[in-house]
Amino acid sequence: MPARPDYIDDLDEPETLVDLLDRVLDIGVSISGDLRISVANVELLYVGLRLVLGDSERLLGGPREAET
Amino acid sequence: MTKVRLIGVAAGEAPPGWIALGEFAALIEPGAPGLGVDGARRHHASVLAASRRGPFLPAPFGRAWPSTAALVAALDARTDAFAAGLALAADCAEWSVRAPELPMEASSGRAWLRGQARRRTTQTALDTLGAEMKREGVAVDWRRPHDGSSLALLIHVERMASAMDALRQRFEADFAALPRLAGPWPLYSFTCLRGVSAREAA
Repeated sequence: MPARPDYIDDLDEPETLVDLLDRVLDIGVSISGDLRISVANVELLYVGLRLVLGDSERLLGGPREAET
Repeated sequence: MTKVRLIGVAAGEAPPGWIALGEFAALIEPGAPGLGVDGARRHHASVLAASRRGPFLPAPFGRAWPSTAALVAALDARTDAFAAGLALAADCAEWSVRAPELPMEASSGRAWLRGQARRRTTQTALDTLGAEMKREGVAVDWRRPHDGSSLALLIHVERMASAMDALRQRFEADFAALPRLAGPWPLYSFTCLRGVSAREAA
């Protein structure tokens, strides 16, 4: 078996955090939005970001889904 | 009844705090997911801790089940895919390839339409790049995550350095710019645990 990769654990950079959110969210729990990230009024990046919205029941794989 | 969240699945006997699924074990945590960035950070930290034990299939963030029994029922319907998924997790890692961000234009309807058109062009170019990387054996597989300006590539860990070189060269040729590469990530975009819900247990 190959050596285990040293996965990213430093999420301090906004771009890395966006990369995490972009892949860790499952289909159907997010909507598309736009976010500007800036520091001291200097725009650093403009990204399409998925914002987690909605109540927690919509995120459940619970009975309401099972009934559909 | 306590809701539970799925962190992911590994092979072998269930360590303390995990639940047994035949030849596999699932790491779960109690409680509904905390929404937002902090919840995603905590989920990722739990995935990384579990991955240190060995190959691990990460679950997406943001799902909870009404009980452990409901979660086990949902996972039981998927166990056939676990062995192949864990083999991928043993050999490969995910990389994020992000196209340079386009400069913002003054806000207007026409500018927004132009931006959307450029975004679609970028998405098409990224799809082409991903398919070529797979065809040429640089990547094992590829996906485009939610965000249109990035690509997820599945790269064999023993060929990571050569794959990054090939990717940079090809990206620069196609986009006249260098990509922003981030990784390695657990196999979030390639895990067979995406889309697991109680619907499958019904």
